[in-house]
Amino acid sequence: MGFDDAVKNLMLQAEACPLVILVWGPGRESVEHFEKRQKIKREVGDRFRNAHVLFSEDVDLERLLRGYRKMSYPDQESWHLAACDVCVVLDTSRGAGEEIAHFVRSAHASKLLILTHERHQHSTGFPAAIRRYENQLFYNDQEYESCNLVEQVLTRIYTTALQKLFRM
Amino acid sequence: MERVAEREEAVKKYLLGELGESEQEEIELRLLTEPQYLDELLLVEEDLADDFVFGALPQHERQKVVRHFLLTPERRQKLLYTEALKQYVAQQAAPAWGAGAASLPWRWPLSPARGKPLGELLGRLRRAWASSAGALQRWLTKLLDGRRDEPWERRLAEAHQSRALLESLMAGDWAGLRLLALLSAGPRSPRELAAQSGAGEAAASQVLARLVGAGAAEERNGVFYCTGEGAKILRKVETAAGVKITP
Repeated sequence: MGFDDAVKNLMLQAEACPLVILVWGPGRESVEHFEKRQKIKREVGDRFRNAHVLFSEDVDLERLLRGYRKMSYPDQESWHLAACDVCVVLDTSRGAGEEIAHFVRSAHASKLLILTHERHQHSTGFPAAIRRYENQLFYNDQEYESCNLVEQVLTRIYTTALQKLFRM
Repeated sequence: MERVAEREEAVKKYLLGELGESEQEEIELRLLTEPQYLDELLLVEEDLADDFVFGALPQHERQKVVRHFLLTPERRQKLLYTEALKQYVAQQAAPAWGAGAASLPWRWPLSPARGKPLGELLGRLRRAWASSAGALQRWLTKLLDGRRDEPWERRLAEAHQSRALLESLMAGDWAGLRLLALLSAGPRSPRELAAQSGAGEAAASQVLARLVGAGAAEERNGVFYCTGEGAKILRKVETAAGVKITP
């Protein structure tokens, strides 16, 4: 067995890694962007077959956490973020960014992958560290329409899976 | 006769990794033989750091800054220093200009080469830093260390470092891992690595730059070495993959 076999083994193990991936972003009322969220969810699920890929609005932890349904939505999301490995945030408007602003200094901020349209790059209120350490990436219209955005998400999930594999 | 703007543009493209191999070599030769050219490179480096910190770069250039320009510890330190200066200037400017300080055009203060008064202040600050002037350096060091000590930022930095290491291995369709495995057998020049790995020299150089930036390799006098961090990740790869890839 040689180098190519080693790489193939690593990729197979990464793709079989049991990860929890959240995909946050616009709801059903924003048809185009919700479809993009669904596409990301589908592509990630197809590639990482043992991963649990979720929208927060589909999660109900009442059986595990008594009083969960009475919590505020940000509190519920805090639990989701704590339990996940990667949280992809499709930040298509300034409002969406403000909703997650309180998570970016949290203990779980490193799990965030915020995808923001480049037209907001000067108005985004996130700390500079979020951009410096590549927890926020900017895309243009062409990248949004093409597979580029999904590829960036998949690369991030690969590295997360390898981090788990190597216990980093 | 070459104009200043053209020279600066070429240096900027070099720093962002936009030049072909022969153009890179031409710039590197000039840096070795023309002291004024090196001074220009240092000025362009400062301008690039300023533009990045103040959000003046278009997105595609921001990504190139992260992927190419910030590969060396000295440039990362320069960036942190620029951010600290931004805060320092805002604090120093507030008493003189009051509420208007926040709305000062960002470019105006940070262009010492362009002779603006506040730019000269910043030029003096940079020279004071370089000559280890006591009070200013202590203040800036404390500010930089304090910022790096914020727990959430430290966690982000650690996660990013870990990702950068893995991405450097995956670079060029896992060419990074192949090159690092070759380096584990002993130091090599880029030409030797390119020949042994089957990659082109330019592609190998780009991948090597990422390995160096991630701390898996280091470069001394044009020769590359595998670091302790690089050897550690190679062992993890071999254990996880169940395959020996080092010679």
